[in-house]
Amino acid sequence: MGKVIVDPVPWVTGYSRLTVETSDDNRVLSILFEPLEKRGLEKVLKGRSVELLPTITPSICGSDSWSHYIASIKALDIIYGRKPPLTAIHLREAGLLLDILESHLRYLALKFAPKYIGGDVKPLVEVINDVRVVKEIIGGRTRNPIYGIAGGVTRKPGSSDVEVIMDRLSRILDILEKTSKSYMDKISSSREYTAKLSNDKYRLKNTGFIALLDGDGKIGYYDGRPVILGPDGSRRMVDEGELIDHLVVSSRLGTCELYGGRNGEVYMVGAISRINLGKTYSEDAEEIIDKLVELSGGKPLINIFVEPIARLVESLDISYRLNKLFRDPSWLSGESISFEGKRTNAGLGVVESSRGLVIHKYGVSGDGLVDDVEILDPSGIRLPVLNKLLEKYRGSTYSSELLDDVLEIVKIMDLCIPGASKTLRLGGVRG
Amino acid sequence: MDWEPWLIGFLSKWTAGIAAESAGVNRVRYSPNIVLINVPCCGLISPIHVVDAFLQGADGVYIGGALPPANCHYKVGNFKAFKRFYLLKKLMKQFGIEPERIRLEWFVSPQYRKLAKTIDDFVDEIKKLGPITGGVEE
Amino acid sequence: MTRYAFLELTSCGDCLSELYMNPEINKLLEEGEIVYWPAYGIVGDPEEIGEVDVTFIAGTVRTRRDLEELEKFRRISRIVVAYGTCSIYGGLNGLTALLEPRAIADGEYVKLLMPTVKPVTDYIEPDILVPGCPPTREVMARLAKTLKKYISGGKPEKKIFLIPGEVLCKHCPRRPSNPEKAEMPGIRDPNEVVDDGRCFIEQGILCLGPVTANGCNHLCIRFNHPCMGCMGPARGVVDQGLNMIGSIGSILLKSREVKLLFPGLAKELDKLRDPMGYFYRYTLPKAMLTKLALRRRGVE
Ligand code: SF4
Repeated sequence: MGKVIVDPVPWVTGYSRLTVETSDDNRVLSILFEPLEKRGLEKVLKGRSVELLPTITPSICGSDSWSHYIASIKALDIIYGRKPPLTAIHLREAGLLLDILESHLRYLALKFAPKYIGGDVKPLVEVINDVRVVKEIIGGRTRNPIYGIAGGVTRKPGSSDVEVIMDRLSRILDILEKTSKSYMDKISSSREYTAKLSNDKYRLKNTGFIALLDGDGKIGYYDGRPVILGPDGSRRMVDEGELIDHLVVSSRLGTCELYGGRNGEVYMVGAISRINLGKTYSEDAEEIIDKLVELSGGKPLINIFVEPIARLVESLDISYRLNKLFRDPSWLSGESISFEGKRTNAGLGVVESSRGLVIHKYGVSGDGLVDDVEILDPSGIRLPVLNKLLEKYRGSTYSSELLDDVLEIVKIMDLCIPGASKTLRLGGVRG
Repeated sequence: MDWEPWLIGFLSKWTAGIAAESAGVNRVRYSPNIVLINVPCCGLISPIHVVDAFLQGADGVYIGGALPPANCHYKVGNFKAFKRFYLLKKLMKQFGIEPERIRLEWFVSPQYRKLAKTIDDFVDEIKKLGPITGGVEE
Repeated sequence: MTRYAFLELTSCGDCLSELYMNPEINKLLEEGEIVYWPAYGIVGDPEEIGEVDVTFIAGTVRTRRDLEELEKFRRISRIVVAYGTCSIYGGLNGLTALLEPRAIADGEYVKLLMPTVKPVTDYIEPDILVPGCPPTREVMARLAKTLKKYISGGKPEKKIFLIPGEVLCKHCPRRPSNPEKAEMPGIRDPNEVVDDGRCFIEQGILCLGPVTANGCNHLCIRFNHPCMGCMGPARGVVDQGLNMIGSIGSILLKSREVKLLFPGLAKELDKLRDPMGYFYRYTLPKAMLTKLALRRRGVE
């Protein structure tokens, strides 16, 4: 029996290890992916004054920090019994969208393009900096924002701020329109990539999708309701509370079961899930999706190599949406906080992030201290999906190409171990 | 068990400090396990001094000041001290350190019997709590 | 060519990616070469990397591997930059300082962990320290400028702290006109206060401005959010929490204490239910009480 160990696993945020066990005749017996960064941050949330959580939880995963922040603030809204006014909702949503956009663009510029597109990624890096400028104007910090308060936001951008925002946003959209066109041309003419898109090996088997959708069936990043597309093609709306039960099946060692459905199915979240379930905002985005459907053989999109392109689609769509939001910023003139409401002792906040669903659920004791916390991070939800994908390699003859393939899949999943290690008490994904 | 606690006492020299002097004059004994330090006012004792005393190995810290409202030489030193150490105790609890290791007592000048009694009580209490470094059970 | 390494220890994992994106820093990097950054596919055995000119380190030391890597990279690097509050004071990740390994992991994984979490500065001497969660754009630019001086060789004679250490209140736009007279009228949840633009403390909101270094240009304050202490203690502050308790003792309800007496004051103080969370959100591993608590566990 032999063992191949990759330590640290490259292209993963945070520290992890991958172990491939092989038999005497060089066949793959198992593949183990282990997040080895253990933090325990969720453990110190209990006993905290609940109002502190929005400033602590963004540290669960730095590159999706706004999603954790906004989920946390939404949970506070409910605990304080407040309904934020439209101005606040739009500003929160804008911040959330910008953070997702930055995370997508970083992935595309630094992880995806160098290998599959080539050429200069400078325009994308410039866009990222524009995004960061707008984030700062809206939420104070590029990461770990500070503009939230139960029932609203603490600051509205002034008119000179809005000018900068508009200026940057239109530039962002401009560059992304061009980039997405050229990327799609490259991808559709790349033999290597189109072969991957139609290769059965990379298909998600027995996998469902979850995304937040708004009333019109569009992707609801900020306040959509969760909808599940089952592996059998069934589609249903679920209650957020039920979703937590559904996803956290067990925290037993060996995380196959963790987040697995009751019939061994797993659920994917993030860009691919969202474009499978929801309608986008712009026609350009729809066009790319049609192209993707054509290249990968039908809907729902179930090839994991769709994910990077789904992130491109979303980047374009989000920029489109942000531009539309700020083109007529009359909503900014309204109140930014509503103090009205009666305290409750439990709160729930669900939003999307670049990697998918983020759920925060808090229970609060009579004296305002947190006595119950449940947080789902999308990297944690993605681990069993990765597991399912890697299962397929069991029994194959081991080669360095096989290892490259496995590492490529890990890279596409774009896991954030600091986030995943929160939900994953232990161990790894056993293939 | 041959462990003996040692404690530090910060006494405001205008009240508790005078009580300590009177205790000497009147031959009232109190536990030798405490080292008493006179300070100009208990409002000048910082939480840093107290935690530092623990880090130096003190098993308990006794603070004696003027009984409110009217006895503090500097008028409000006792209130300051009260707020600080009430808060420090709450904080210590969160760190798993027994807040009972800080004892606040308030005096009208020469209450030396009260001083001796509260010190002896405190020493007994600290004996029960064990050393600040923990591990008394082993 | 200047050789750079990016070392990410236990943390939220984003500081160095942000640093990389900064245009000024990015330009420097482009003229040089990144020789180590696993998160972006550049892996290698530190023993075989050879000399590194500048290593950026973010995060805290929680795993044994964190410590190994940290020591290796200090050895092979000409200049070490401790980047982000985690690396200097523990940061948000430092809130786990009192958790024992067994509380975080099970089975064989317990062995991977150090008994507590500590900032990088507890183990090695960095040459440049850059606090912030995250550090602001202005501080990043300052970092780029500082690095330029040493790109072709040499290193700072003594540690460079990239933010001024003065206390945040000093130039705060909300600073009371007569700070001597300022009074804290009680202890309130910031979510319950209709902000009137005055000093937060005068509105009963715990603002860490009196004990925190200004490295942010009052960023939170300008966003109508009290200071959380992310830049670490101001010069002369020994312990953010203990110093803050000192200040609160002086100014809380000072005009009403004779009326309220101890019971009344206690009632108000009880409203601060989580002093640890308020005072040490970013610096728990550095708290004197943490040292005491760990010593009792036989860790220190
Ligand atoms: S306490 Fe806060 S709001 Fe008041 S002056 Fe200091 S930094 Fe400004």
